[in-house]
Amino acid sequence: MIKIAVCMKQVPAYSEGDMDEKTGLMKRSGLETITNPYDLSALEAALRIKEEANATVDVFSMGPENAEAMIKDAYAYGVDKGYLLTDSRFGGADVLVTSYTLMQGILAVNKYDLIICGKQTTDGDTSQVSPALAKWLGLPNYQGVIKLLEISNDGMEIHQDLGEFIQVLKINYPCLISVNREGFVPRMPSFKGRLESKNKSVNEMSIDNLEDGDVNHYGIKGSTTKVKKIFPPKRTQAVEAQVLEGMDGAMEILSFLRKD
Amino acid sequence: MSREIYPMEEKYQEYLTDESKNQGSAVSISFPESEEEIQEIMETLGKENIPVTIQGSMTGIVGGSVPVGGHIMNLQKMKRIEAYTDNDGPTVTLEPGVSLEELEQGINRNFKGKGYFWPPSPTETTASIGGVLATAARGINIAYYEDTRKYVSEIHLVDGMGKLHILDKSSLDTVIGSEGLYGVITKATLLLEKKPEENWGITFFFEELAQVNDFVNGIEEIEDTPFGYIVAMEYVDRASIDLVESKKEFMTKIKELPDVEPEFNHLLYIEIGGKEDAITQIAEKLMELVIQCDGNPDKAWAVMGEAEIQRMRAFHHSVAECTNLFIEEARRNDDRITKLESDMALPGLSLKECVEFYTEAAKANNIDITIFGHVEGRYLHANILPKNYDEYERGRRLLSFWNQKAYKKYKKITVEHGIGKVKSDLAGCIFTKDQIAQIEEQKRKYDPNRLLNRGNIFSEDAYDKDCSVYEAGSGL
Repeated sequence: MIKIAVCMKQVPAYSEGDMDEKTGLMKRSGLETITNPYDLSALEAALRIKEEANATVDVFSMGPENAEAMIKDAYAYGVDKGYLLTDSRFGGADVLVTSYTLMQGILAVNKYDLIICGKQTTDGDTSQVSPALAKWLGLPNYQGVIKLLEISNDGMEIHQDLGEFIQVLKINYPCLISVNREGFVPRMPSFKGRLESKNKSVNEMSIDNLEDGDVNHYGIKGSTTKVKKIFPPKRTQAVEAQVLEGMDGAMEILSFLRKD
Repeated sequence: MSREIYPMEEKYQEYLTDESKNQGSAVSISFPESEEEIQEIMETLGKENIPVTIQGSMTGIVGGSVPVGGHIMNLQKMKRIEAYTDNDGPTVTLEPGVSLEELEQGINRNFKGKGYFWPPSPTETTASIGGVLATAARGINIAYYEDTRKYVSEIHLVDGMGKLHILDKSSLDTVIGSEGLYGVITKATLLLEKKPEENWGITFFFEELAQVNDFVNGIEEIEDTPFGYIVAMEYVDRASIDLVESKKEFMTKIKELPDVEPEFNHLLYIEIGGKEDAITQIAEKLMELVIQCDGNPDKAWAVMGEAEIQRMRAFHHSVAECTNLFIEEARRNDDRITKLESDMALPGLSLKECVEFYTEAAKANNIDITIFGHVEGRYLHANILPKNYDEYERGRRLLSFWNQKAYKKYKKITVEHGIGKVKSDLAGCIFTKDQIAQIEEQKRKYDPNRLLNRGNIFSEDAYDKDCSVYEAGSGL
């Protein structure tokens, strides 16, 4: 039986949040939330393995209490167990501490064969949590995975998109993979799964459930980086476009350049 | 000319057509930015007896905003949202050029956390509020929220002589759905509702029409309560699904939706709103029902939450969009081809009978069609997909045949798209003599010189139309 852990995050549905000037943290309260779309691809990869081989899929997420809804949503896709690392002392965590917290949570539950992460989140956008998590767990780490083949209880073949070429590797468990969206279009949550998820609970974990109980290793206290500023890009105003050809176009460009 | 009125130039070519793809003509155009400016322009044009075509976002598909000579008054600059109030229920007062998506953004910003929305939900979110009110457009929410008129409390109307009328709820029926015949809507106060506490969107798939038909019959026995209610019920046929799947890679909002498995020929989408427990109860009834109807509950999708519901709605919106894209592609080979879509309600028929109403004649004449729409009230739209002008001509005859059959039974052949200019030659047959008399009375009151939106609803020969052909119902 392949034991799979998928890391998922709840993110704002739209990019309209404000930053707390003092702490540099996103003000998330009141914002509509969704599951990070990249993590849905990670979940899709895990579920395909579950369908092909004998596997269980557990989800881990670090977030506020209302992220429980995201894990319950994940049950509708076919997840077996969900764990929410939630504690006010986790707040304000940067990449280093987020990955450390996830590592602590994963190790507190089970020894997993395969950790699957999405490429990035739509709010943080760093793509750094998954390789950092692999480092904390002491696991080989494979980024940019777009295909999984020959899945067995010992390992599988992966295709990695390395930009200029596709690399094909045979890998063994335990390891961590980070998947790209294009390889794993998420399935839709099933109606049956959604009804069944009503009866399933989410396991909440705080610092007190982790082997390392030192609060200075978590949250904003443990973070070594601080966000200086978050702001949406300046929206350009609609302008009238003109189509000019030949000499008219050339003269217009010349006139524009001369203004400088 | 007044400074607000511009002579027609090549740069205004785009304003001579709308989504119906019919081409019009005009000699001048204006983009007023205030109610006062509209009054001045109407007074000026009224003195010179110049006809005026009113335009919003030009997303209509029956040619309502296609100009027939004279002046175009385009309201795209009337985009102020003037007031948000929440004293006796939430309202928004705004100018007619505000689009549905701008309205939604404004409501979310100004009533943050309150969960308000404007229930009429026409599919095209770039449509202007003025256009929605002029056509009484509605959308997916119709199963629960009903008519657009319920959600308006006041309208400012500038008539054909430039006079301002402020209409309250008692006289709004004059304007809503009148397709700009009586005046320019310059302001409206909309009534908002609270969104359901929770909502689910469930998509069921069926192989056979009889299965989805039985399922719908069962659903219609489920009673709504204030705690749990069916907000929407939409049908999509296989041809529509195939059309969307052929184009979805170019459509950001839906390109990541999985393909529908090939053995399924019918899709039924249901939205349930209310409190979680009540929604779950309805969902459990649907689960039992789909099994009884030989559907496959394992294949059904279920999403929840606003963002996911919007993704499912984007799929349904894309069905209409993909049809428009198909027509655009056909027009590149022959620009005489325009959209051909039915706009009929067939109440009293089962879903199966509705679908067969369209498919039998289409199959017999070897014409490709798609069918999708609101199951409540049986407002299904059949779109003809002509690949060339010959098929287009046969499609026109097919549409006329459907219109005739529907008219024979229901004396009504248009519901939510309006009549516009595309169907204006039928108005003499659609309306009763009393209705025509009422329309004429209002026209004399608000636009005695008949300058506004000429060609909408009534064409020149509407009154002389021989309606007996519709009584008899001829074949193709």
